[in-house]
Amino acid sequence: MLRSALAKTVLNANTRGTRVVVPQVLARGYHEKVISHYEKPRNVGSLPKNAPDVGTGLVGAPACGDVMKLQIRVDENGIISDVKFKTFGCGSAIASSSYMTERVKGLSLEDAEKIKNTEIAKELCLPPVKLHCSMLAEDAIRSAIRDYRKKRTNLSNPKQTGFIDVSQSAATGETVATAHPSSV
Amino acid sequence: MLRSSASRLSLRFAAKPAVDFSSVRPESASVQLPSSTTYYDVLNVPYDGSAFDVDLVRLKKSFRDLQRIIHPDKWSGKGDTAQETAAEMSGIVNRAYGILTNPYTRAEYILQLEGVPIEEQDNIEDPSLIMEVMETREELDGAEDRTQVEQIRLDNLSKINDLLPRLSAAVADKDWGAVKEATIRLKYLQGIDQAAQAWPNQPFDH
Repeated sequence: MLRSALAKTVLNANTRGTRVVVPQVLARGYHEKVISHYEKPRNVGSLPKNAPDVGTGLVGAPACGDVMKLQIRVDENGIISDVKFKTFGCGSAIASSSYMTERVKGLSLEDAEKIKNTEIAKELCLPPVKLHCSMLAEDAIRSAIRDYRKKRTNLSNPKQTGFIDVSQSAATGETVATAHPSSV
Repeated sequence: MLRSSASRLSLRFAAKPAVDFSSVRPESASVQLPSSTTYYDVLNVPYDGSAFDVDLVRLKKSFRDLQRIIHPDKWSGKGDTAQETAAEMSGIVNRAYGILTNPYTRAEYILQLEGVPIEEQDNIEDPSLIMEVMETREELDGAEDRTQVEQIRLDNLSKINDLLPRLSAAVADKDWGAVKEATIRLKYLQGIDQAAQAWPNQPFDH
């Protein structure tokens, strides 16, 4: 019953049913550079998002339903030593993020955040309707840098605002509250 | 309403001036709908600015009735102009039907009609949605068998089923901000559904 109701919704939801057809990429006029990144994306994967030296950028494009995750690992000199991405979206979005990972590896955070979407669009010869894919990649790297910096700030001032730590022992049920007043 | 005869092809949309497609030259630009004519008008179903739900049975009947007359095959041998015009009209009717039957494209179209379209530059202000979508896409990507994929798909479909009444209520309230938000969520959920259907291949939709 539930299943049939659900199946009905799917029928509704998918009149524009789409299937995987890689040659379509060519038919739709993508540039060979896009296809190269689409078929062999560089630096796909994930970094441990809770690691103190990793920054994660997670962004989405509402108009096309794409999601992009870009993660950087930053060494003690402020240089991006490793970078990974995962993008679920169109060929241009995948290519833009793949290209971005190659581009930022080895750069300082300051240089990485200066990269403009127009550079990506130019490099990949993206048509105007696909410019937002390159903007997504720009948003992703900036968001990853922001996340990394926020983490570092929190790490250097962990108890800045003051808080009360309350814990309860699972074995005895005893509750302990410890005050950590603001250090000011 | 639609009239046709062997030599003339014209289409009159409900309560709107007639669109005389026969005057369109096939070699010139494509048939343009008058700006006041909506896809609802094309398929002769009402849109009063407060209803998201459509009568799918009526829509389908209307679609079939129209296509029975304007399908280009019916106009073969009656001159290239008539046939090309029929093809263009048929294309418009197909498009209207496609947009109005899919809840996402219908919602997007309503936002457009109401003057608050979703823009490519619209930023998602809800990071939890992106996170939720990314998690599901990664789960799907790492799925090892069809059973697992089907489970993800069913969970996602029930999210869509929960969302549609909310979308419908937001349209009824003319709360366009909420409509936009629900429409964007629907877009992502439909994306997950397409990815689940395409599994183990990657969906490629645009």
